[in-house]
Amino acid sequence: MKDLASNKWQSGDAAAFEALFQQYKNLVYKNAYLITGSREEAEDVLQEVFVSVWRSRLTFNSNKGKITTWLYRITVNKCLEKQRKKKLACVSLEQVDLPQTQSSDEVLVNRQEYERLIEAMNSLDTKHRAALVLRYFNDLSYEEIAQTAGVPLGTVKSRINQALKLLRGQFDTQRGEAPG
Amino acid sequence: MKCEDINKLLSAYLDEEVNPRERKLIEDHLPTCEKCREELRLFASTREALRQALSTKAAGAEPSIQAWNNVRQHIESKSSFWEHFTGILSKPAWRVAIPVVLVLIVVGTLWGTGVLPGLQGGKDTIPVPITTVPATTNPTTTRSLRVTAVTAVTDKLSYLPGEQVEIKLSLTNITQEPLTLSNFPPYTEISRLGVLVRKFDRGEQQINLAPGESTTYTIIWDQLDDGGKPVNPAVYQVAAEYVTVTKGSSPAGQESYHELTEVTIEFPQGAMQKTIEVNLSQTVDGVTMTLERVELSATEIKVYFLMSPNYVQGIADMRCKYRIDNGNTFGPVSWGYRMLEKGMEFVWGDLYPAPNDAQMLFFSITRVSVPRVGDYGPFEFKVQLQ
Repeated sequence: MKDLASNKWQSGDAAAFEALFQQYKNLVYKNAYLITGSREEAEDVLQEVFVSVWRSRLTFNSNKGKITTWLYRITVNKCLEKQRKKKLACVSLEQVDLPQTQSSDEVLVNRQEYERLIEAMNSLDTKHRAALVLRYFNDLSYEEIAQTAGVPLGTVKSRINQALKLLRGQFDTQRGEAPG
Repeated sequence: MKCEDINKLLSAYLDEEVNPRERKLIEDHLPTCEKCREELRLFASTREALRQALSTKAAGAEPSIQAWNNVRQHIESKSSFWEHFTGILSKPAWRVAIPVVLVLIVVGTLWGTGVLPGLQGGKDTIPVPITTVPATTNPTTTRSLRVTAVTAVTDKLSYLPGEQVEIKLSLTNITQEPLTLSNFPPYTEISRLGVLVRKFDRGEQQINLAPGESTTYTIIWDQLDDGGKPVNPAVYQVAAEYVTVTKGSSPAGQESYHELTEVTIEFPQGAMQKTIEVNLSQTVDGVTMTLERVELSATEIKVYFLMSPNYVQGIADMRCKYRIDNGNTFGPVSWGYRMLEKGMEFVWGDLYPAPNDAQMLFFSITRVSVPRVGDYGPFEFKVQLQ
């Protein structure tokens, strides 16, 4: 897709940059919201991403990659920075025994259960959450995720596999604790 | 290849991200190993549930209307400022640029504080009277936060379609110091099960609150959505967000309020509440979909299906639409499934409730996409409700 503000925003045209912002604000915000889990942090990330885009606008080359890939990369990096600043006690997947296979009668029927699944995502670190969001919300290929995250393809495969497995374990635990 | 090695590839296999050699190894292994087949089913159901959950969660999430202004202010204050003063200062243009920048800063400051009301960029504010009252309300819902407590009360327990809904929100200073609330009243939204229905943009007022003092504001909702259409009877959630708070003379950041209260809109004749065992089947291209039962409650309708055959790789996408009698047709709703011996059981939830005298539910599964197999549908069902 041709970007609304191609070239003009890169040469410093503020109106064209606003058009770029309006075109991609939801993409950045929704991803940041899903990765951080907080509307306030997503709002901060949105601001930081577009300030970064403006400052480094001359470094973006549309012949070498899509602007969405660039935006995903900056968004994920800003979310990672936030996590580092907060020093959250997240689970490091390398240190965790992955859960054993659970029973198969899993029914996810309504929003409350979806919310518990999202809640279970909080047990993952930002790198793994970002991989899940890029794959299952944005439908990015593993290759695109690798480019976005700046990691090898094999790392993407193992991150998604580990994250899904841990998520399942966490979700089952929460469901077990949920009333009713 | 060991199960452990196969296991590491299963999510990539479902995502169609394995190479041909890996695919062959997996597909040779699966028929011989019940444990890995079970593992594949679990991966499939988790990833589909996650897709639904992420999409539902993101549906109502939008940046605030202030977002662009925040970016612009940052760019103007940090980027342009330094560019102007370090890069362009040596050029003759600076003699023009500096006065222009200064004028913009002054105008921007006045704009931000509301001193220049004509320059408020066409932002909508909530057209309601603001009153400051002592903190003596009898709350139905209270959320205590860092510096303020917010209480939301509706004027009635439930409403009939078309009735005006009055939601009174009260913010109380729970600190020992005076507070100033900016951008008041806060951005407020009404949603149903995570889907935004109607939003009310934030205001521009500043409110000073002494310790323990409260301020109230009222939202009048005409039961229309953002597109101007009347909403269906159902339970709706009210949430408010972001009030800039200044504590004493130092900024204390932004308060953020989430779900505060609910608004129930009821059918005059009441909602239908019962379970109907249906057991109607339809077969399209070798896939049989059986509508097992419909559960109707005052808050939602759930529809249960059984699909046969049982695809272990899961479902990539599924779409439906439905209507009750001659009412509006509604689009996709959330769904989930589980694997059973007899097939895959699907549940569609979050459908709008039906009135007590409804006659017929029309439900169509417009498309079911099975990875590497194909798309099926539509499957159309009519359920007699009386």
